[in-house]
Amino acid sequence: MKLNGSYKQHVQKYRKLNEGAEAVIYASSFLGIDAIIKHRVAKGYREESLDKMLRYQRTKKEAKILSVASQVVSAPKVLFLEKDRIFMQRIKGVNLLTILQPNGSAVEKNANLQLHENKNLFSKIGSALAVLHGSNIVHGDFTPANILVDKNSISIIDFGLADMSQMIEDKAVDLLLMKRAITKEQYAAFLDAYKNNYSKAHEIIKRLEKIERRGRYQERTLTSTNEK
Amino acid sequence: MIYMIMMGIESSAHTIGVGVVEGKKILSNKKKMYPISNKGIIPSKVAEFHSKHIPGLIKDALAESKINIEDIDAVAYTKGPGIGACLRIGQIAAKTISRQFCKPIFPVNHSVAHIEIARVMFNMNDPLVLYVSGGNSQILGIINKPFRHYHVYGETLDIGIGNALDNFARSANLLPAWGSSVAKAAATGKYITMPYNVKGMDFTFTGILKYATDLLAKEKLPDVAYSFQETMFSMLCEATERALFLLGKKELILCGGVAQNRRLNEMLQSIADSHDVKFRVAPDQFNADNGAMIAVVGLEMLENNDHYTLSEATIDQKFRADKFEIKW
Repeated sequence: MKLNGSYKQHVQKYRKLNEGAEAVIYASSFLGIDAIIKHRVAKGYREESLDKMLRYQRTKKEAKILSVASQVVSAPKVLFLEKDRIFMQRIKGVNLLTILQPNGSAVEKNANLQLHENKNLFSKIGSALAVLHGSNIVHGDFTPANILVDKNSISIIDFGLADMSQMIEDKAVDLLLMKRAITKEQYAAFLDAYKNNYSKAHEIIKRLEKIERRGRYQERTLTSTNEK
Repeated sequence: MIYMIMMGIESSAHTIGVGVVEGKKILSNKKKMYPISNKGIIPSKVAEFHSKHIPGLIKDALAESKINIEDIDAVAYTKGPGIGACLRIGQIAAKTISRQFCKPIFPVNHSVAHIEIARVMFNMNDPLVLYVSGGNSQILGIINKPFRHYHVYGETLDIGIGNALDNFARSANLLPAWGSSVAKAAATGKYITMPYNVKGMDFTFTGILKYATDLLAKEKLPDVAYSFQETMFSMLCEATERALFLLGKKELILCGGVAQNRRLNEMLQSIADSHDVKFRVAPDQFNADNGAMIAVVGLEMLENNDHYTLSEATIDQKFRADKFEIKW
């Protein structure tokens, strides 16, 4: 798409939505489309050249992967790209982490998320990951915090640590991160759907078992990050 | 108010230490370090060194505390993690004192002791912890399930950062103590891009270690040392910052041997300042291995009516921080 003049004239006011460890998220609109702007802010603690390299490379890579991912699963479409900023389509939904958290405010709204539906939800997540892995996209931070739930559909967001990779190890780590964050029952539903939708699933699961057997993981308590 | 007096014996690696604490007051903290040659250490030789020095250290620690051995209320020792032969010496010493003078005995987790001495010292309740030493590099925080313990949120997937620094220093023919030699060499360096590997809150160091040691043949030592150290610290900082955000913690502790590095302190201080987080590091003598930190945890166990028989006073070379129940 070719824009006349500065792109800035097409951007409505920024509204800060969220501040993450790596980036600041703004809500805005771009050419009339509801948009999210992800701005990777400079980190003063690290060497400037390393900082710039990490931020620019990651932004570019994320945009590239998003544009592929959004074609195969429900994920934000890229609208515009700058050095350290991605403008992307805004997706409706509630963060899965807040749904899973017993005290979150979103709980009342989702109190009817019964076990049956719950299973359905996690099998949807499993098949979405299967599709991503089938396209050789690894998410890199595949945790409930990066899943949006809208009624019964799910979307995957934050491809900030994603990679195009055929490596079994990388894919197995995606499984591991999710496994560590959800209950056994939820994981079973998730894994079933993953197996049914990805032809190489058995290799990945085998590697996951191997990773867990490695000294460091062997003893690690597999408790979810939101249990306190 | 009368406080309990606890003796702590630490012998997990090259340092043998005996400390005595009374409540929150540290009465003495004596230690001796096995002189490291450029070839690393042989476990049996270190154990021999420890067994030779421990009686003297116990006497010194008691003398400095101005008490007799009968005056201590209990004795604590390092159960693990560490080198088996070395752990055994501390265990035997503690068991001997326990039996001879009828004092309760407390097996302590070394990693948790590093954390707890800082937490107690700075009166923190629910800190995020970056624990960096030779063998360990972990990001931890307290959770209550399935039992109350320091949960490992992120850690090195291969070697500890101290191990990486030591390895690099040996390749560069630097002198022990290697960590500070690398820091010194790095002081005047310029930045060269190096492999950067963070996965969520986990990280790996072997890739960059190989890259940096290979680069020594081509580039100047200060530049390689600076870039090596800077890149690894940036990895730790990124993972720590992510954990701070994810868990919403408002307190941060840096501990372990590598916590003595000033540059790492400075970087974490900058992160803490930008997110309104209280950041604390214990004085160097408590970040190097020492007996006082073992005594601090022993005292907490004593005050919570923990009880161990002599046969339960074992050692465990792979005693992870998240296997140690904290009852306070």
